[in-house]
Amino acid sequence: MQNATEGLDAALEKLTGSQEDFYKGQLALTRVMGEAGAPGNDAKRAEVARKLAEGLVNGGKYPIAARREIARRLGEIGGDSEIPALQSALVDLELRESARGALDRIPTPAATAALIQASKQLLGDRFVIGIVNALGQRTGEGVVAALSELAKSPNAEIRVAVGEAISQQSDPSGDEIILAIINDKSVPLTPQQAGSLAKARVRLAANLNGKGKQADAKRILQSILAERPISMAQPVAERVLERVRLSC
Amino acid sequence: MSDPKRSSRRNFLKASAAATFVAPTIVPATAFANGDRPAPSDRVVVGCIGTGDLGRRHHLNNMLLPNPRIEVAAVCDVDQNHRDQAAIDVYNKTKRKVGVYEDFRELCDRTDIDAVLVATPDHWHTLTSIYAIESGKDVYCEKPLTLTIDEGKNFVATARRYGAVVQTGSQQRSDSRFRLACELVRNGYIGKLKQVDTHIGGIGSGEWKPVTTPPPELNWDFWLGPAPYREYSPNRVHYDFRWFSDFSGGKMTDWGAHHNDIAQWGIGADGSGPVKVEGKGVFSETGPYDVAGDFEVKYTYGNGVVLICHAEGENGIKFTGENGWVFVSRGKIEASNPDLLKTEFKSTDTRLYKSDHHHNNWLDCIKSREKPICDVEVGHRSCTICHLGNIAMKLGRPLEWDPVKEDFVNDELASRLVRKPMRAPWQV
Repeated sequence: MQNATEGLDAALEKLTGSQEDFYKGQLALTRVMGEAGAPGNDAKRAEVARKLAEGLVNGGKYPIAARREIARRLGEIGGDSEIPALQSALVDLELRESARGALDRIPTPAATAALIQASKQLLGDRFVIGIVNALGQRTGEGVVAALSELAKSPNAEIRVAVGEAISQQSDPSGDEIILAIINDKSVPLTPQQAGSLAKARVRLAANLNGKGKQADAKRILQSILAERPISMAQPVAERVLERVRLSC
Repeated sequence: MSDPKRSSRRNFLKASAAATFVAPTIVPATAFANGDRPAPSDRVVVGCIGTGDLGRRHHLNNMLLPNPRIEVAAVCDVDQNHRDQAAIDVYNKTKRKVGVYEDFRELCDRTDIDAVLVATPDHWHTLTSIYAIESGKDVYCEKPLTLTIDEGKNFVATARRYGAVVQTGSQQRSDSRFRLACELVRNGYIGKLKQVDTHIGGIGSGEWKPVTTPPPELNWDFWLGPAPYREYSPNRVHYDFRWFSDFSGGKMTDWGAHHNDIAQWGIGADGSGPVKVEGKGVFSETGPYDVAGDFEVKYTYGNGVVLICHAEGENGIKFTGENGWVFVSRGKIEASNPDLLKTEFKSTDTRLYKSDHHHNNWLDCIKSREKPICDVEVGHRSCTICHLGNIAMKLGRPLEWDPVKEDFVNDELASRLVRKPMRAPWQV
């Protein structure tokens, strides 16, 4: 264990130097993590992850570029024990995208919970869209509910991202959420945004078909095809509907 | 399989042509077939996404514009010089002005475009292609098809759910030499297959160039797109993006997507893959290129066949069986017994999908709605071989792979590397 963490200290130190040194630090980190992350090396992995988390929260020790790299690596090797460190980085404007990406990569319910909590508390349009996108890749308790709340955002771009994330969920009720975004005139959508949401409805139906929920898929697609005036999503909806019929 | 969108455009054109018999003086000559040039209703209207060196020189100028079955309607690139020059090329060849876009979404949202050709840097392949499919387009996407294994799974699922025709740009499948080599192997003419060696070349370390302001014609933030934010440096863009793992997978994906694809074809592993991978990679100690420069990666398939992908050696693929070998590369095929190359296949032999023109095969399939020779799943699985090699080299240990679940076996760290988070606001 000593060797692994010694190598880690040297790697982290390199991240504080020139771009060439930074590269060397990245390479050294990769080697340390490859060894520590091997199956059966749980204690070593935990130690490396713990030290990376320390480096992330210890703002004075490493420059921002190094801390971003540390956050990124925590996404690869970190576990639930490192989530508090990543959560603390979410409130740092310069670190939060890297921390969000790390949580996106950690596949545990605790990481999902951290993303949901962030979606309720944190601001910044593009950042929130990143949170929404990460939630869209996940399932589990609270994901659809959190996305539903974000669907009420006053920001149209966030709403569109929510619609697209909902479409990944294979939950038939997602169509109502997307329709509510489309029909809420208090937050007007550009034609491109409206088009994105129409496509999101088709994607939801296509995903439902892929999950064996043909009746729900058909209902959504027929609803799209019945809309007037004709939308650009309709030819695609017709094509997907044909796939649904073939799979029935 | 019908194609409502395309049928609509074609029906409209046919209806217009019918009307011309009533009022022939207003009919444009281009509404009819002209010699070898098909009528507009039979042409595929294509938009080009990514018009840099490969997109413009190879695809646009060599493959699309000379093809009478294609009408190029739009070009798109985040580098203004690239897109403007591509539009000029189209005008010089056809005397028609085309739509010129910085944002691929605007091109894909056009309802008069049937299909797109994606020749962007690798980190954009899946994102643009999936957007195009969800906009009702068919897709020709350059190799390597994806940046990650997870992208490939999404790409395949989307293509299937939307019924899109997707051709992967691993065009060696449309070359008779590669097909002959694989047919000899698949039919046992070299005996039971034991080993495949692919030789794909390596790279050096590259040179550091100072971080600087992006040139005014390049929308750097858009170029980066879903990749992690990096300051601009001229050796990260255009051709050299291939040697940075944020954007590509080095030679392993660049040439591996060609030769490992042929290995998969010869092994008969399309739709599947190896069960073990072990790689030795040499990474530059100084940078800036952060992909393996020299390497040897060994893959073991469930039937015991071994594939070894080498940086070194004569570029090409060598299949070795119990009774002989066959070597194939671009412009060359050799065998342990030269008579093997004159083999007359028996009616009971397995014959492989025949295509003699990769782009025309795509066009044929757009019309027939059949799968092209290098369908999206073929491209994804071949690309997976390359990604597995890169992951094994990065981790420096043998890995077990489940080609059915498309995940590593009992290796949490390796499993996390099958996908990369995308920088907001991008997502597929």
